[in-house]
Amino acid sequence: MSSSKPLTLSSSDGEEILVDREVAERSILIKNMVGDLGEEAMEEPIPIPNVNAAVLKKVIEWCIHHKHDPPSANEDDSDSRKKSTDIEEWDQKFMQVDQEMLFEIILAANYLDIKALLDVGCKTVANMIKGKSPEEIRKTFNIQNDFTPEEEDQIRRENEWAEE
Amino acid sequence: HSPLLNLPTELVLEITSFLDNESQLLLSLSCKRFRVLFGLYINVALPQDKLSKLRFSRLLELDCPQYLTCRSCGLLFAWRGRKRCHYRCPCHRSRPYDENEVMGTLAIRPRGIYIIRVTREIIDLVLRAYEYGPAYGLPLAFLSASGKDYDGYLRESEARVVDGQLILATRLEVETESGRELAIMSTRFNSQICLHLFEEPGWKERWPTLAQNIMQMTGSEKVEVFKCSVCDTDHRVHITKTENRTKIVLNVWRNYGRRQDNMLSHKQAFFFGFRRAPLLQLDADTVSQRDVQALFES
Repeated sequence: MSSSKPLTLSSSDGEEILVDREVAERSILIKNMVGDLGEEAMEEPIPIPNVNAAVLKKVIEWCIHHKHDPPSANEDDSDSRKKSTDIEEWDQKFMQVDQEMLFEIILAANYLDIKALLDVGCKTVANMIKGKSPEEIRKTFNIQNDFTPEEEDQIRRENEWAEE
Repeated sequence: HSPLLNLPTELVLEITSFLDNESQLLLSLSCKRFRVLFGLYINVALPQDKLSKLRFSRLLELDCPQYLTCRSCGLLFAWRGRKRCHYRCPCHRSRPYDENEVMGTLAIRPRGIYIIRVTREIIDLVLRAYEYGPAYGLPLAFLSASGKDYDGYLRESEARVVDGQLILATRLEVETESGRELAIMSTRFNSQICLHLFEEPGWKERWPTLAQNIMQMTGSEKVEVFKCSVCDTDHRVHITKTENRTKIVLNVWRNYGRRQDNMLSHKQAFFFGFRRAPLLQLDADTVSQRDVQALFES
């Protein structure tokens, strides 16, 4: 498979990026596209209309590093997968980007259907939420507190967190 | 502009699938969108196990300084109104004895007769205020005082935070005519020392033996150190003897640890009451090498 011709991906901002087919096929979207349209159709650049060049290059960097990974585990195996937010060291470093980029990667992984990258992105965000109070969460993610004091009181009463 | 808020619902749910129940609940309290979203898709009820409750409350309390997490029931309580009960949570009446810990008593009267029982809640309030600001609890000075007690004995106490650990040093100085040492030590010292010592073998002989030693003292000074082997409490008795008078100074240094340590109240080393399980002894080397006084003064 590695001998097959590289693919050209065209980002939303019009940049063309050459990628080994094996690497590009970490994306189920691209893999299915190649399967459906046949190799000949791949002479033309493949448009990736939802992802800009900066993000696409980042995603390709991840795919290159992970090109030899076994295909992702069975979807039904979700219970054991969900519980752990452990991220391998290389991926942790890879995800040390600004928040804008982090969420762009998550959106791109979702669109391109790269489950393992989507998981790494979501785990990274989950780890940013863990161990924080609501106010700290707001600060981290630039969220406005839009509860009125009355609503806050009501939430407190509903949930019986406090001994009065 | 918040990229997290702008994510489509399916991706928010993908992220939250990696969160435990209490983190999901805390996130749902950050804004209306998450509140509604979680109400629709996830059961965000607080789990009933105590440790999850405790983790949740300990994070939520950072946003509401008027509340403190009770390590026993895991709920928040409005602490300022609990002064008369030594800031204990209302649940303390129904707690098992071994969770109703009192970690040393300060028999000091800054104004009139006032005895501070150093409860777990007081420790938490002092450490929390130290870390987050005065609105969050009690100042270090709450545990500091000096003056004469009703018998005219000099008492002092001072609290410090060293490397995140709260250490309380207390000092009791008594002076008496020779021959009355035992009577004074066995009535006045017992309220100052670590409660675990009462359970040590040979405890009953400690004051009589010390009194006998004083009788037979050849030099004019003597220092005796004893350490609790269950919690981080060190004691020092300093005796100065003149012809017919004896001065005895009892110093106690207690290390109450860090705010994050020993989350559940029954895991605390400092407690008082009837116990269901035997006390866990600290490693003998650790105890012999420990020097709470040096830590306090560092």
